[in-house]
Amino acid sequence: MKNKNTRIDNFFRKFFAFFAIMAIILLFLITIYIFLKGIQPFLPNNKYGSYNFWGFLTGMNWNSSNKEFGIFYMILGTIFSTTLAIIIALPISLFSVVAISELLPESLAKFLSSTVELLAGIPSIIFGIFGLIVIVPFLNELPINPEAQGQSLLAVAIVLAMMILPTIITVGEAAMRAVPNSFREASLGLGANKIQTTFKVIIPAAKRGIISGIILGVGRALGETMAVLMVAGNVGGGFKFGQGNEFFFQGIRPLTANVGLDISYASGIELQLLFSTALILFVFIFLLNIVVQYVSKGGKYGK
Amino acid sequence: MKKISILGIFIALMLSGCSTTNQQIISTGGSTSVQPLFKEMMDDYMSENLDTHITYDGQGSSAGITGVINDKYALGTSSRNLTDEEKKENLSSDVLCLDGIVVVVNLENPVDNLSIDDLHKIYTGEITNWKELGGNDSKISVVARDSNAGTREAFEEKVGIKGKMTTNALELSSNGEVLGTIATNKDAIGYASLGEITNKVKLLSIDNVKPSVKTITSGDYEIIRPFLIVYKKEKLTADTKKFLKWIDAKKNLYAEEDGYIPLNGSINEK
Repeated sequence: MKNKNTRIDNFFRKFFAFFAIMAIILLFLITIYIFLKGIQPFLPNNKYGSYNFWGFLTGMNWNSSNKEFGIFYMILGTIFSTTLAIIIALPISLFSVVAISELLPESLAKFLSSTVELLAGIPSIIFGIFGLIVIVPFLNELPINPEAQGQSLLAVAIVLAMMILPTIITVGEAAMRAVPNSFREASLGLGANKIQTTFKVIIPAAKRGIISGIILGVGRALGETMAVLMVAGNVGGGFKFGQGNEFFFQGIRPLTANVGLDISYASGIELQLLFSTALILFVFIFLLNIVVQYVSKGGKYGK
Repeated sequence: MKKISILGIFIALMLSGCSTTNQQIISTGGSTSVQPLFKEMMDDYMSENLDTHITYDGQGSSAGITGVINDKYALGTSSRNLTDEEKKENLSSDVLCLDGIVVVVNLENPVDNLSIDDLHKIYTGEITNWKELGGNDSKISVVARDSNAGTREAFEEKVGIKGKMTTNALELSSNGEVLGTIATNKDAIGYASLGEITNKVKLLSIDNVKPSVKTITSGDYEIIRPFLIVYKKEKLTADTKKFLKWIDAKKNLYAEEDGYIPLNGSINEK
């Protein structure tokens, strides 16, 4: 009897391990595919002629008629729109996490947190349409907008902020709830009030979880394509620093938008370089994931 | 046991759904601009010929032509002329109809007419304010299509701005998005296909010629492009030939109905 059970256990161990390995194989295949496709245009024996990798990485224009393909201004667009989205989303999500997990009565908190989950389920194209018909015209009409249009860095940041809110809130809330009640009781027992307890005890204790939530949000923002494509303007080059509001209201072309915009049309070396753009994006997200692993590894209540 | 029998019924149903009748499949694809007109024709053709099933893959003109070269599509559509490189591939192309590319601005914009030279200066970034063109004192928002769109290629060729477009221009992914942006932005200028124009935007005259079916037919309005059907003559099957023949007979009727410009007589570009 025992022998039979061991056999069954063994069989199912292998059976489930097979499916677990499939996910790894998939990741491995995608990585290899993107990598091989992405480095193709820089190889000396490429059939459409080789493109200078340094020129690709540092170029400030994407102009297919002139065979000029630079993505540095897209990297800047991606980095700054994501950063700005986090700056917008962080206070909102942090305060709602505090409200949901610490301050509000249970029933209201439950309602709020399921509403947030609903927000997470809205497809990105809907956010894109909302951005295009509400946010873009609104920004266009703003008197402080020095440009003649609303498609801009700021529009992208606002749309992304809306999309990453649920990620940060859900992960942050779980982290705050995971803090043992004894922490709260000890703090309250020492005479601290609820707000002091929350900000001086609970948030520091849940810090790692909250930071993981933020990084996951960054990941989503970096990879978002459809909604971004609709509000970014997808300009052909350049990035303006400083010069007052121009920075916020300039049109940008994030890395994802570049791939999404042209992948179905492009041919020849441009198509190959779109894969290279995807490779750069892949590297960004890969690095980010290493950071996530590093941050979340340090124990539940780390400093 | 009951569950198994239900499962059996499901499987039987699924299999019967898959069972192939003798339907002929013609796969086509290409320009998003040609898509509405072409789809209408193929839907009507399919309802007349139930034994034929036609698919259309709206991926853009370049994709349509490449698809024919790679034998992915039996027929490809294009909203621009073939490039010199594509012409080397021994393709045949029939003109379906002509289409005007029109320049549009917001309804509130007081400007009614621009010259080709003005367009050149706007799209290369030499003129950046409507004031210089007799409009309001406000910046121009230049709206264009993504770099491989047939509409953009045809427009850039006619205005002579290939590779010279200002990097401030917005590059949008469909003509519909262009029209939507123009309708909501009072400083924007863009271009789209004549057949797609709605009354929410204002059509500009170019060199004092108002774009219309009439002025395009007479040759007065010059920013035009052909809608092409591309194929490899030696690879045509009997069904595809029959469909092409049907298109040739009906194309002027459909073109006229949809606001495109029919060609008189069938022109065969080789």
